[in-house]
Amino acid sequence: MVVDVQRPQAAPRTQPPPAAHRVRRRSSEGTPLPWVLLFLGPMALGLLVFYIGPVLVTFYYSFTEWGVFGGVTWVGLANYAQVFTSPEVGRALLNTVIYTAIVLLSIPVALLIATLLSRRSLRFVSVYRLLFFLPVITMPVAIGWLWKLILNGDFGILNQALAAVGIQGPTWLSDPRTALISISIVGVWASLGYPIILFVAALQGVPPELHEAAALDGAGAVRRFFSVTLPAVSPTVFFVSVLTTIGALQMFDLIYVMIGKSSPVIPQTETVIYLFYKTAFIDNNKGLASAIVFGLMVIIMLLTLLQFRLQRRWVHYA
Amino acid sequence: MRGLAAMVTVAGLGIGLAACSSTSSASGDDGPVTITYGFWAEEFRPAFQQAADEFHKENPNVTVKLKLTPFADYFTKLNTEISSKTAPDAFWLQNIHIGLYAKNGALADLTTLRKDSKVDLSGIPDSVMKPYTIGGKLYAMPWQALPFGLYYNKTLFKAAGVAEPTNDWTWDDVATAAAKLTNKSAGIYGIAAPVWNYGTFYQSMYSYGADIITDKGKGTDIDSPAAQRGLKVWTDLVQKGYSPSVAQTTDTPADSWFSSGKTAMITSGPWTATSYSAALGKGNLGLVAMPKGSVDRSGMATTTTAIAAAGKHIADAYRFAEFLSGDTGQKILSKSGVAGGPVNKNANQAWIDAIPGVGIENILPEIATAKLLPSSNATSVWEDQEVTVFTPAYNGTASVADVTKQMAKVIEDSLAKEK
Repeated sequence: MVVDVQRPQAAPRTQPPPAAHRVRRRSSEGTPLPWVLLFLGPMALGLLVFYIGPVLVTFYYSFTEWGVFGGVTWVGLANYAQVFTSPEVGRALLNTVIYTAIVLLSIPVALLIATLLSRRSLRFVSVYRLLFFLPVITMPVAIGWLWKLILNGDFGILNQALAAVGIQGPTWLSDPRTALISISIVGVWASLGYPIILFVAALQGVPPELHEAAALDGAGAVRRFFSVTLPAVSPTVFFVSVLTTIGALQMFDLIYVMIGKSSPVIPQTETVIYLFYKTAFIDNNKGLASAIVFGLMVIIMLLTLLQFRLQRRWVHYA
Repeated sequence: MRGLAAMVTVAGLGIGLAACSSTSSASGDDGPVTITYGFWAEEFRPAFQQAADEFHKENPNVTVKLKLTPFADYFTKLNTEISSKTAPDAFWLQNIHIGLYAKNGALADLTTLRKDSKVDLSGIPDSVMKPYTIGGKLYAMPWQALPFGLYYNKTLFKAAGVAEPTNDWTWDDVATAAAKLTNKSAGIYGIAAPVWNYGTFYQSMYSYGADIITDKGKGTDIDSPAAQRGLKVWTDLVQKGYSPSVAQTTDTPADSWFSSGKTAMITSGPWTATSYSAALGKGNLGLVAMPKGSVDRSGMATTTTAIAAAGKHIADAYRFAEFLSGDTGQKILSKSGVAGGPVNKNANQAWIDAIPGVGIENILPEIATAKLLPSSNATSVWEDQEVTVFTPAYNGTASVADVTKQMAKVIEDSLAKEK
């Protein structure tokens, strides 16, 4: 094919621009500074005051100890020493990691559901999408309360349904063996809709020619899924996994609503943020709580950095 | 740009001028004064509003403004407000908090105000007033006494043919009756035994002579034989199957087990009398004094009014707190039927009349003889661990001796940190 080579533009100017235009810069050389400040200023100010500021202040507080009614004394690394040696922090971290792992394992499930929803022959697609997305836009507290009633050991409808087929269901939220799993499943149920919608959109962006080419080469549906679909949506999978990790590591609402403050299974279910809440507001130890939450922030940052590093291996950008 | 800068300057000046304008705070107690009163239970609002209105009639220059913060956030918010000196002029405090707040200078010293006051508070037993004087200084005025008792479901007792409880029952009587009342096939339990310190094992431990926090807040006897016997009362009830298990009373609160008619007995405070009575139906609810152990001593909580040390109207706020503990205020609160027991015995009859047919008169004598529930300067730090430490004993996976020894260590470590 003959490709037209674009000839360069007409000869450059030989005269300098008129004096009146020297002061105002052209937009291709950058917007005037006052306009930049005017448009970015409010958001930057908000970011500084409500996000970055508190992070720095929390970092400072993590080196202090608080009196009950105010007053702050410097204690250096004592809080961090306690964080690293406290078995309760270790247990909370383990619970949080288990919860995050379970929620991450639901991403393939979301992809599978999205694939099923993208079949052209499927009717009532909008209804299914609505049903999957409703939990995402429902308040976590409402979800927690509802599932707490459903999972009630003696009078909840789950156990009543199980009893109808002769199974004696456990007290899901008060049995140390089942409490964390139950909360994790509710967490998955509540958040699955978001990756599903993202994957549905990503699947629509997979070029059909790739599928046709693969089918012509003799690849079945499953082979095509792993060799064509998966690499094509890998950027979205990456995006979802990063956000899910960050969100799951910060889980608090479900524990607070479904387990409550006086349950015997708190040690088996409390997440790091719940421990933070308890340390800061029930035990009134705000210095230690700041250290706990700052430690979690460092962990999340490291994990996110790790994920970004690893993406070179498996994420295919078009 | 110059225009923008000018605009910002003018706006800043305007805001500054507005902030500098004087507020309406009165300098002394001469002009009209408004005091804020912090509380945590919405159902008490009508009673307290009535008391505030009555107080206003007697003190026309003082208006009381009620300020509600739900219990779950109450102390978090209060502590923040105290540290920023924006706390209400007067506010509710439970007896367990007085020591901590007084020690940190959050409460006004009321000793002189009380001494100079002409209000007659002879109806309040000395034993009830004593805990609020710390180091010779008075820090709070009690207005509500919460003696605990044994509630029972008359229908279930009649159906099982068991004699109803009396004021002389011991814990052994409770266990015997619970055995006869439990009907597994019908899903009925004899008693609800949640891992709830105030209503269950604190009561039984006190009744066997244990004090739980001893030595003026420096030690504990929760591992003593008396305390162990107290805990064993409840772990036995659960292990023998006369009560729902710990998991069951965590999933569904013990209150619900009783008010839905699935357990025949429950130990609780007077604040549940009205709701239990409504749930079980007229004439179906009974209440007797807390069962006895080796001594006749139950546990009691009180609610008080404390005055903020940084408040601007301490004398007026004190007068309202005193009014609430005096004959008139106490009668108003008791008549509402929502408040617990009166601290002033001149209001006893008003309380009995407010909750008729249940047996409120049976727990009234405890107000003068009960011991306040245990507390220290950082009660929640050790108290919150009781559920985790004691639950294995209820489930049968640990012995009462072991868990009480473990709890004693937790309490001692916590008290040592309190200094």
